[in-house]
Amino acid sequence: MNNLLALPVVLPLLGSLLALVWPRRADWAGLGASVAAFVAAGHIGAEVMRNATLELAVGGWAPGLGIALRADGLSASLLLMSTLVALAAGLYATTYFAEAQKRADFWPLWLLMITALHALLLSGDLFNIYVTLELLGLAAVALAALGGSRAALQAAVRYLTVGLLGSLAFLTGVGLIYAGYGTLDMVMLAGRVDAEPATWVALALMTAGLLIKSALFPMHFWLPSAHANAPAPVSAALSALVVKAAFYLVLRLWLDVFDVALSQASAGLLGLLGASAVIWGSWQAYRAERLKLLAAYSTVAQIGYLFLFIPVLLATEPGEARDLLFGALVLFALTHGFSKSAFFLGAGVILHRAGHDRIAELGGTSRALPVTTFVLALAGIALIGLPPSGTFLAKWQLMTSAIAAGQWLWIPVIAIGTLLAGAYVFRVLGHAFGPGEGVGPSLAWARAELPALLLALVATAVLGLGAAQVWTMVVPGSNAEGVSL
Amino acid sequence: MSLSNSLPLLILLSSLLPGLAIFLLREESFRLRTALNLFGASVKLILVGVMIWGVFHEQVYETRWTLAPGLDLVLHADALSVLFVSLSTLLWLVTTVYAIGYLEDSPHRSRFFGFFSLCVTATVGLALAGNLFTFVVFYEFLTLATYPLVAHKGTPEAIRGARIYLAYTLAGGMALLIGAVWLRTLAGPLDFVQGGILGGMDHLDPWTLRWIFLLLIVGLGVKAALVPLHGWLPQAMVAPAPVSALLHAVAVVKAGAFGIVRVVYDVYGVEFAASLGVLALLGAAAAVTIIYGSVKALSQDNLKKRLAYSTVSQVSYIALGTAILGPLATVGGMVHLVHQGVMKITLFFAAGNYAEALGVHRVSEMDGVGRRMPGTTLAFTIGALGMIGIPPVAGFVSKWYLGLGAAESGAALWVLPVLVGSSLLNAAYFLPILYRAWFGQPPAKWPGGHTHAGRWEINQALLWPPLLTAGLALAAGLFAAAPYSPLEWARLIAEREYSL
Amino acid sequence: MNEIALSLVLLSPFVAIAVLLATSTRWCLVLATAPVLAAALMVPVGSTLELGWLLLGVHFTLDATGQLFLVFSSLVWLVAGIYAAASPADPRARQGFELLFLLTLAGNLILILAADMVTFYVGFALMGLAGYGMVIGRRSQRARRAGHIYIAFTLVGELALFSALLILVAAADSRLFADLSGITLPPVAVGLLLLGFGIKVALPGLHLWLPSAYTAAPIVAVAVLSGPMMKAGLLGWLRFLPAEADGLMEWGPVLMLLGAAGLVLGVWLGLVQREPRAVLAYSSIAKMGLITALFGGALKSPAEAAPVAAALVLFAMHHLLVKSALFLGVGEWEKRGRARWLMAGLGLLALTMIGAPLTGGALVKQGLGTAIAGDFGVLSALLTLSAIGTALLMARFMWLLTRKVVRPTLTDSIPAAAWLVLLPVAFLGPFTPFVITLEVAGMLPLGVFLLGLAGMSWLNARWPGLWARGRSGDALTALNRVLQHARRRLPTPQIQYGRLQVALIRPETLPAPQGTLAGPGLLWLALFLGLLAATLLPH
Repeated sequence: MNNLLALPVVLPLLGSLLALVWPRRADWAGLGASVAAFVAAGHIGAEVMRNATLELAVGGWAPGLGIALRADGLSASLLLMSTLVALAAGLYATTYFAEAQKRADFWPLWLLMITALHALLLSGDLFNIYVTLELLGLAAVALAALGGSRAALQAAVRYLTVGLLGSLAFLTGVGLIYAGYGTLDMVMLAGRVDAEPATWVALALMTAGLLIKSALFPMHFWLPSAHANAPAPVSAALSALVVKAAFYLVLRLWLDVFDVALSQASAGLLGLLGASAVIWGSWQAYRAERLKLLAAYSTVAQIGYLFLFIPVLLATEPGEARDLLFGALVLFALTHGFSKSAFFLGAGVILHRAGHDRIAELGGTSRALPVTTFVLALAGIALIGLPPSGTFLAKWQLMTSAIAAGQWLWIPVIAIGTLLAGAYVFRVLGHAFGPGEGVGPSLAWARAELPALLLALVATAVLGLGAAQVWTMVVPGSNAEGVSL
Repeated sequence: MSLSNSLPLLILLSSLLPGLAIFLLREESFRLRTALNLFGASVKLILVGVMIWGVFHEQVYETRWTLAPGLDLVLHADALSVLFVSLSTLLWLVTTVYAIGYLEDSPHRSRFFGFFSLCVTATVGLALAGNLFTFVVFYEFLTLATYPLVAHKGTPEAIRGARIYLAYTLAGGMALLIGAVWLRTLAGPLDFVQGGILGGMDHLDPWTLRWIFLLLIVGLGVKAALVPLHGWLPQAMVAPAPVSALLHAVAVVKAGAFGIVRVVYDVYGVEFAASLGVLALLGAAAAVTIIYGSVKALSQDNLKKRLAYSTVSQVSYIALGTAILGPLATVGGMVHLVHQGVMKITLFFAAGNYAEALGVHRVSEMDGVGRRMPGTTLAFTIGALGMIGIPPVAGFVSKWYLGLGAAESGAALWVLPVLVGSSLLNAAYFLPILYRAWFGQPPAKWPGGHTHAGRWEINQALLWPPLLTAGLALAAGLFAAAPYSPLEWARLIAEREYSL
Repeated sequence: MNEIALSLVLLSPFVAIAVLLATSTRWCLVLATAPVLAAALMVPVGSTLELGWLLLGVHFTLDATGQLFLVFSSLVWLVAGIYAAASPADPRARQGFELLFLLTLAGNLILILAADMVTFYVGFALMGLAGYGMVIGRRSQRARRAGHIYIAFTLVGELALFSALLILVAAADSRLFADLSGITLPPVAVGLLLLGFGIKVALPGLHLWLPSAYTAAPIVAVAVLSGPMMKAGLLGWLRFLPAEADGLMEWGPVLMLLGAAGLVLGVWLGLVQREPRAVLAYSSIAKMGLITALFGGALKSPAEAAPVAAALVLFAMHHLLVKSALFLGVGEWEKRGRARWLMAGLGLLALTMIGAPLTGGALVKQGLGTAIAGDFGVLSALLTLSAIGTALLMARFMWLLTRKVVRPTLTDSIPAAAWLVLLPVAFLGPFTPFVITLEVAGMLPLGVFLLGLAGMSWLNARWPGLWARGRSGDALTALNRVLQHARRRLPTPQIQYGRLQVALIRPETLPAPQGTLAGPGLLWLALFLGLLAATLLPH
């Protein structure tokens, strides 16, 4: 059944072609492809839970020469998340873009982005990763520019410029690696890599490139304007999926391929940057006056959290404890994906209804849209890291491991970040409580609000209560019941 | 799933499910909402009754759900949790009736009752928590569930009060979380075991344990309103009366106090904690809070604010009882958990009635209310006398055991002047209210309120809850030595705690 | 059977309360007190009642001392009840007065019958607090002020008692009075007991609440205050400080000193009062001072304690009856003026108070004298001093009654009738074996009394108006004046508390990208180099 692995790549590609050719049926093509991809991802996930890793050599060409697709727990779970988020955001997009022409423009680009993303997640060698990374970036830029406003265009161009720099750095690193080891297949590289100057430089180059793309402080400057000015479904994908892909790559490189070349100092540097991102991002989010800007800065902060995991991971001895922490990392990434996309979708609904997204004046609108406000609340809970969201469990695990590894610095950072997140989320929610009659529970706009609701529920309820499944998927051979630290 | 596996979960669901359902109801579905509310409350009461009987006969009830490898969500019923659960359940039922009457024709009732039910779910989950992790989960959940209740009215003061409340409780939650995580890394899964688990672990550094204790107490002390972490409580008085009643008698403050009891008895173990020297710190904080709260209450003219500071002071009796080594003080602290809840809720119900019927919010406006609203004022009187510690109302019994515990343990003799001083201060700020109410001259015209057309002084749904709880307070004191009284239950807990 | 009787005794006030709330008749007061008196006379000594489920477990018993207290207290309560029921109702007081009367009675009964410390405390607290309502009965300005002072002192006393209770229970490991005999009483506890009951008994320094309460309260309240309630303090001492316990001997001299001081204080201040009630009040203080001193003497020599204590109790009972009767009579006087039968009755009461021959007072004095005949030199002197002082006070009292003009108001005859029935009982009580002797010692007070009367009349004739003047109130007013003065001088502290300020939010527009990429570009370069360095370093 390993042909399964090709499906998440092929299906959206087909869909994008269909949408290009038949603009009037673009919606159907897009949604159909998304659903199919979701189903495929589900199957892959189930398979991975049983067998630990799936491999596919495309066209029968052996790795080293041909394209290898691999899916392990990490990529399978991220794949599942991205298909679901893409489905929901796509569904929302059909209502968000009122004119058919806009939708016709949207779907091909969107599906291309999804293709690139899935391919990136499933790629088994560095060159493919580079290609898909470029594709992803280009598609994302085009989608970001769909907003149409001057600010959106400027933001998109900046995103493009900066992204190109990142890709170039990455490519240079890839080149160095190829020159040094003669292969780009990640599994083979993992066996051959040595700790030597060329490797270090290559690693530094690739990491630096990826840091731009994942918007880690201080390379985050392009993100707020790009994500805030983009259309809501695009912002959702950008924040939840695209930056996550870059982070995924950092993880892959650091944990699977280049682990011998690493040092605690470099991990510590990443951690420090992550800590700064947490605090800076949360603070800026607190000060933001507009909802989408708040969400964008929140993404900066949450990415920072993800990078905080890295030094702690490397400081923990391989074994049960490290597996536990790794699972927590994946849980965090997944929860953030769902919650941030839900938040952006909700913000989009509000923006549409109110005509603006100035937080201070959102009172009446949030009362008129109880379901969306509920979505924002659920997503907010996941962003803060309160139970019953998955983020709470992940943070608990991170703090536990940090203390066990003796890395105390991260604890106050997490504390401050959480409190600031509480402040900015409840600033928004507080406006839902103004005086005046409410409308009672009602779905003002089912097709628009339901996808967001679904995503938020996954973030806060499903991933919170069913988190044990994440570990089962991500940690090979682990049985969540009965394992104690 | 057998009954012993599912009973704790069922108790939780009995308020969670009606709560979620109520969110979906329209404002006008008054009857359905009331039915859901009362149905949930009654079912819960029955289930808790079953649990009480079971725990008394040493039956084990536990629900376990693995959230992550090594992190289990555990709901476990032991004597202490049953004490708190039964208090919460009973008072929830009474407060629901009261709230239905109070919020008649107010906007956003579905939202209110939905969050109300969630709040009780969180409290019950907290009470039934079988390890520190579960406790922290429900503790944070309680913060989330209570915020909308505090902000319910939607006025700028309400939002501001809710914001301050949130700031304090989130910060406290963070401290608690860090302390719990730290302890977890040192001592493994922190299941609550009577007698404590840390005492047996020799490899732990005492200073680390002391710092962790401090963190935990700071985190819990925010909700338990220990000075100087109490600042949110007077601000949260902007909430409607049923919210103040439930929050300050049952849910939030008691959650903090209950957490302190759990940490000292079932995590550290009271003897171990005493040997670490942390109990002295707790006792000092409690004593300062007791006196400070009473002193501040003296200067408040707003009735609810006065009652808020009184709560600050009274809840620390529980912490004080925890801080004194010895079964008698333990009994005093734990039985006060119940007694203070019942007495305080009576006082808040009465305050709500005065505001509702007469527009009276200040003590200076309370002249002659006894004549106008004798039933409510009778309930208020009983509650106030109990707070002062006058027999046979329940407050006397808790003070008796606290004092006796202090007298018996030679080291804690300083507690006696604190108790006496606090009783005097309580008298100083309650007796003038009683005097005004019963012996004052009523004004020609009351400040406002909705006059109730009918035989009784006020809507019956608002009258019977305070009378019922006042009666309970009186009965808890009068029949304290009878079987199945709160006192007997507290004795049972102390017995099981100290025999290990 | 006995248990039922005891429970009936304890329940009767509550039954009466129920009747009161249901029917609003004031004769429920009699309904409460009459059965109690009957029971007190008929229930055998030694009956006990135990209710393990009530409160913390209550124990009641009727011992010899308790029976005496019960009989005489209930007699006073009965008459006071009739008095209150028959007097015209005060429109402002409404039901409150009767309700609190019954609650005070309940408290009194509970504490008399209590066999364990907590039950005693419950009764004592109930009595003290409900007494407040009786004190402020007429709600006049004066009564309210008196009530405030009364409640403040009562609360302090009750809390002192509570603390003492805790220490004693901890030391004896039991709540029963019987178990106190076997232990050494901690000094802190004894001190607190002295404080707590001393307030009730009006020891000097702790007496400040008494004069204002006695002058401002309704006469029924005063009768009850000065009779059963005051003696409850003595009962407290008797119960909590049993002679068999250790650690009491050092306190004997303390009590004697305090008692003597009270005696002197009472006589001194009483003589200069201008209201009859105030004179009686100070006379009570003096008498209780004497009793305190005698009690102290008993503590000092535990071997001879028993007969002294017995005689003391009889003495106290006598005082209880007579003082209450005096006050009730003064009540009549305030309404009727100087009716001849009234003056005669009051005169008789005065005579028995001072211990004139052929009165019950003389008998108890004799009994006391016999009991302390041993080597209690100081006490005998005090006894004589007290006799003289009382005589002078009674003279002043009678004289004031004759001098002050009172406008008669229309009154009921029932109260007067009740009082008249009480009169012989008070005169001849407490019915110890009747021995007629004409001792010289008994003549002394009588002589002083008559001399005093004569003297005052003469002085008044000489300097008209002099002896009608006097003061009322005492140290408390002066203290108040000093405090007010001080408060005006001291600044009130202003404390500002910082607030948790939520940071101001500055508006920020949706940013369009601005500026060049030069800065970020350089930053990125630095980042890359940093990463490289970090990776290189350890190797």
